[in-house]
Amino acid sequence: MDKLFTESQMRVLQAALDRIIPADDYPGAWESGGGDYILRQMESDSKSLLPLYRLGLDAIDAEAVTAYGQHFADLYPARQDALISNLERGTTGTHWVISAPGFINTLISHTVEGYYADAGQGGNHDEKSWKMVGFNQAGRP
Amino acid sequence: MTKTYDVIIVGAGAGGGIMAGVLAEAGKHVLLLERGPKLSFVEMGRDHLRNQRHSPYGHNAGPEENGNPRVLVDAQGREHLVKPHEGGYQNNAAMVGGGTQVYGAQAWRFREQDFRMASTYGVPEHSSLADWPLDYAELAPYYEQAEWEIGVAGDDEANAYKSVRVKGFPLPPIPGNPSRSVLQRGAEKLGWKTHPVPMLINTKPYLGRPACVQCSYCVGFSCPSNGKNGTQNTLIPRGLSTGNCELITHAMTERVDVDERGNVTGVTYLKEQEGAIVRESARAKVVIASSGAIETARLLLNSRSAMHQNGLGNEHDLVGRSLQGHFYPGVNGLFEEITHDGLGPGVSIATSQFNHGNAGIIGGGMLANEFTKLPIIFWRGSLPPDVPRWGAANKRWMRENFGRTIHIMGPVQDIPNPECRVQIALNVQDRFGIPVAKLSGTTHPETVRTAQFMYERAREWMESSGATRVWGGPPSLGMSAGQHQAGTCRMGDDPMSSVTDRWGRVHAHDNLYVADASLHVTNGGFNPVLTVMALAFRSAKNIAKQL
Repeated sequence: MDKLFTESQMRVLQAALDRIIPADDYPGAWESGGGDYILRQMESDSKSLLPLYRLGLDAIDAEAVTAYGQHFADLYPARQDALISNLERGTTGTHWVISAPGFINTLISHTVEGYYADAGQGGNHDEKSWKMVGFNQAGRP
Repeated sequence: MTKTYDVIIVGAGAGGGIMAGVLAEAGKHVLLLERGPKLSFVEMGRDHLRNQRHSPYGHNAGPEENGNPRVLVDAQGREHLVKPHEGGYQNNAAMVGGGTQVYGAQAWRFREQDFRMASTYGVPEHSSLADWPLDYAELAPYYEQAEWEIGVAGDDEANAYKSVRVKGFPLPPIPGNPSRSVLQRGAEKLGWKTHPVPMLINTKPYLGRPACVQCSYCVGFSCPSNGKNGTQNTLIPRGLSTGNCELITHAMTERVDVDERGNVTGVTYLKEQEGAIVRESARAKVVIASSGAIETARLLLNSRSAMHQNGLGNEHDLVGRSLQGHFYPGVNGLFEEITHDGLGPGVSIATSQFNHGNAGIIGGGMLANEFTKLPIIFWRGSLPPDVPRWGAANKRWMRENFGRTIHIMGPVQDIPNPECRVQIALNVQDRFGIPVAKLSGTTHPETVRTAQFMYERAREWMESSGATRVWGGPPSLGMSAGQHQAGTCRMGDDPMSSVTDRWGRVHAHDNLYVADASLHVTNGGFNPVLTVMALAFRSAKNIAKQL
């Protein structure tokens, strides 16, 4: 199978997921399997979004390089957060051929789905997010 | 070879399942056709992103994603092709048991006034609000039959606004939970009466099936203990066990057949066999359409013939009109104390105080706390508007407050609009080549006014209960159909203004019946399934007597 994303796209993906749901005493989105969830989506229900993802991940990195002279994954978390917030508002320093808020919202939505949906989807390892919020810890068959 | 039956039933849901059970036990030879499969708990799974409650990518209870489109006409008159999992499709489950295997299972009786809305409130301009041809007292024994033969848990004493009932519930009410305590306190301060929500759930073993295990997966999923009661585990197996009922799944009924004089003779249905589509016909003395308000209307409208050029029962252009459902106004509230104990079903307290008698408002509705939410549904719909959608702040909010929020909401009496309707999209076919349903229109603006009134009551209840903050937007005009879809083949005494008579028999036909919420003249301010069931028990008894 051809790889869905390049190595640098994967680095952006991992870094972005870990800002969308950062680690604390519960795992962040990446450790929880968010990357696997999104890769599965790219091969199934969200196949049509693969080109959007490729463009979006590259564009995020270009934003980081233009603004800070560093790849997105190498930025301090606070800068990564600021950059994501800017994209959410449609504030970009580079030319985007896709909608920046559109892509970020899709990425946020997928990340949250991976984190809080059932583990059968590839994310939410050991159902840790459910333990965190207190879902379904009793009366389970 | 064409097989002959006493009765053919199209659709094995709440209405059709009961028809099949009662008629088979009465010794009638029944063919029960279901377009979907029979599914077990294991087959339906617990996919949080593909279920009847939350379906961004698909469903667990059908219809199949591909080959079953509908056409949705928007407010600007533009037509959109929609798939079953998409908003606007107004989906209900397509499987043996229909919605009853995946519903939340609230088991409400309509109230006396729900059957005479027009004479109680008058008819607003451009509305098709009307009285039912039967009253509560006539349906009451069949509500009781549904409660006892399918199994309802409730508390007869607690409900100050109950309809007159002869017998209590067969099962004790669902247990309390922290939300109930919190909301009870708030209601008491307001002087409101509350009661446990009646549910088609076994609070103890009943009729040979085990009790509920309180797993939080009622709405949108199948039940792991089989303690949630629907037709799939009651009347359908009862019917099948007589040997008089033949169930064919994956069978899509194309049309109700008539002879050259226009009399109903049976149905033609399609099945896929070894990759090819096979067309079969069956003959019967009686045909019953019970496919849900949208698909039943579609079936009748698609059953055109020389004698019935606009479809069956549609001489007066009434089939498919007055499509109704329920608006669900509501609010979320945040509390300092824990409101969620991790147990299902979650819904535990209701008030029926505002179903009627609200000055200047037509009808009203019941309010209750919501079922336990899947975390992903909570994230999508229950976050206050100022909480960030991502980042450490979002994670913290989810962690701290999933168990400290309450969502109050409830179904509002839909004021019907004859222009909200099901038609046939002649240019769009399903995978079998059958023209699909086209949905258009909105509810009547009076529904929004009633919904606004109930929204304010929900807010009042939440604030009185001690919520530290309350959020959620007011209702706005739109189509309401969905899983509570109703009204497309309404009952009545006058053939000029109704599709069927008081027994669900299509006017001008001796042997064509409707048995689902299509019959509902109005849809009550309650979940409608117990009324579908009661009507089916009543009509089945009547058909059995005549056959």
